Amino acid sequence: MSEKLARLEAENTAQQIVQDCGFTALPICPFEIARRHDIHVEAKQSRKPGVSGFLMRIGNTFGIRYALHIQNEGFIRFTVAHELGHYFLPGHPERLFPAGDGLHESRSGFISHDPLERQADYFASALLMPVHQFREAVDYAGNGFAAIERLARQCQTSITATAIRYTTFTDEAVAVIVSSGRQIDYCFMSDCIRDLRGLTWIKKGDMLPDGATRRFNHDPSNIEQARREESTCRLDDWFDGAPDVEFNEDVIGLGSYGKTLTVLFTDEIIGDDDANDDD
Amino acid sequence: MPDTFGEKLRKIREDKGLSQSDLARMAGFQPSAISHFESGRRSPSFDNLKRLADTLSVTIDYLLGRQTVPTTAGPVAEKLFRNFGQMSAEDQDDIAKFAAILAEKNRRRQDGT
Repeated sequence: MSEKLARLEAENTAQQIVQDCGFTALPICPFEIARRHDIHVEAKQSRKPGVSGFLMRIGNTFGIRYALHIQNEGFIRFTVAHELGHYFLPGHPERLFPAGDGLHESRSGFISHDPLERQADYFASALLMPVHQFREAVDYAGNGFAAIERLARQCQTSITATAIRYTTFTDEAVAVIVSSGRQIDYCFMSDCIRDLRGLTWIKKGDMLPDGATRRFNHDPSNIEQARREESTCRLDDWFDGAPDVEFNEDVIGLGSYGKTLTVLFTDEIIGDDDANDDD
Repeated sequence: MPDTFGEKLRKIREDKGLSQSDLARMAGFQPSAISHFESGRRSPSFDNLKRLADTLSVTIDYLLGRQTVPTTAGPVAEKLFRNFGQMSAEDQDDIAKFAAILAEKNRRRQDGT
């Protein structure tokens, strides 16, 4: 299955569950969804780092165990929603256990290399921030980092998951970049930036440009203590071939996640001059 | 003996004298869903498997052809791990404890208590 179809399937499945459970407003509670499907959910007893969560089946009985070592309500809810993804998504039983041996290894982090884990992550995002309710919330959220914070409070989701989802629904020019040290881990862009002609997309492993985020990452305590910094940059500092427009560069340390989130946004209208001339 | 999920589902359904629409209605699916499962055009989720198994009074393992007796849960346990590579001895111990909790819940479900 292509990545696009896998995402569509996750989006549709999540939307159906939200509808079936009768949720009409944010936040969506993954614990309530589990309870209604008779899935036993419990926190791990230890707070030591380790497995962040798992779905288990004994006979016809299902359970989800989640970790508490990352003290972030949004992270915990996302973990439970991710495991619900393995439960609700078609094809996961046979693809996770083709030989019926009962064990499946997966990777950590927000962006997994395993397509099933990626689909479960996408499901979790779509479940906690469902299309209709989230789109409406985005319309009233304003822009930039303040909008992402407002949405995160409304959805009870982590800043990172919210920021990634926000780029899909906003009409504004926004890019969300997660970095560690001097390197970029991943970048999500709103359509407004994606559609700019001649712009080179950022790749995993690219070096951070000179600027606020690079300076911020130079001091690890900024990340550990979840400090914030507001600055400005030029869009073409980050993206080769982009128009030379001033952008806000808001930076926040992600605490125990060990990474930095940067939100680039602007109040200015950007776009291709040619396209505007056509109007 | 049928060995795919679709073949197994068809066999159990026919043995119980149910039509595809009967089973779809009883398990809360769209009428075409059972036909899609049986022909292999649609892969089930765990939620689908649970609803089908509970409706047909069999275990998920029996539906999947991993067990020959329809109603005994047996020792089969499936665990989906994130970060399995980082699993510590403490995590393994936690998994065993959680399995015991679910096994007890499963036993109560089977006994109807």
